[in-house]
Amino acid sequence: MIKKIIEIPVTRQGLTDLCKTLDKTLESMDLPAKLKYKIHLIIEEFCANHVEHGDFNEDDVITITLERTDSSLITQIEDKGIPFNPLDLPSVKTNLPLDKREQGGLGIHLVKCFADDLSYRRDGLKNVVTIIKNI
Amino acid sequence: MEISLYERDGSKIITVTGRIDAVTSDDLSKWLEEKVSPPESNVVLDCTEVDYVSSAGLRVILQLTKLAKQSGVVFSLCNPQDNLKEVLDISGFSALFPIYATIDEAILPGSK
Repeated sequence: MIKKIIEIPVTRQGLTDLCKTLDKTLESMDLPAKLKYKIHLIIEEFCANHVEHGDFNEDDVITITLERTDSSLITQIEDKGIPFNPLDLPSVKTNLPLDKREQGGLGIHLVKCFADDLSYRRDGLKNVVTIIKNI
Repeated sequence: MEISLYERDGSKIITVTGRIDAVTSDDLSKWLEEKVSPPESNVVLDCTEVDYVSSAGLRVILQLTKLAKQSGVVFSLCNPQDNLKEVLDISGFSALFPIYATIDEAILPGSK
């Protein structure tokens, strides 16, 4: 098993650093290219959502734990923000005509589509989201 | 991310190289505002060299598609790689604008 832990501040700079370094971290985990793309996108979308819409202090962090086994990649994303269950968000209507398409909601929509399994729990003061991708 | 622009047969071709993500999408949005807003001719986004697009990039593409429609011109996208194609499909974007395999097809008069 390969395990990696990434911690980023919930700030624009934290998000910038994550986008620049996540590729290298995933590269070191010997993952298929398609899976790397999807898990990169899932992690970016969660973190971007927290940075753009979350109510965090400057010193708050998001902790991302990646565990690669022979058959799956398990990603756990933790933060100490207000309760936020991505599964409670309404589905995005992807079949609307151009005039009616809104800008928001696409990130979590992509996360839901790309995860093989997505679960949420509130653990004390923490949000814990677990994403499983089969290899 | 690198962006360039050229004109061919009356269409503006925007070529992006690299990633369009939560970090770079603002730069692309500002660049588009400066260079092609409002678009006066059809606009093609050449994605041949685009490695990655997240929802932040999709928002910029949606903004450009709406702007093109309001201006009475056509926005199309060219040569997305498989991962991007999948992102466009599951977000419903494939139905919002034409997607072509090559620039030649995108700028053919009959393809608009």
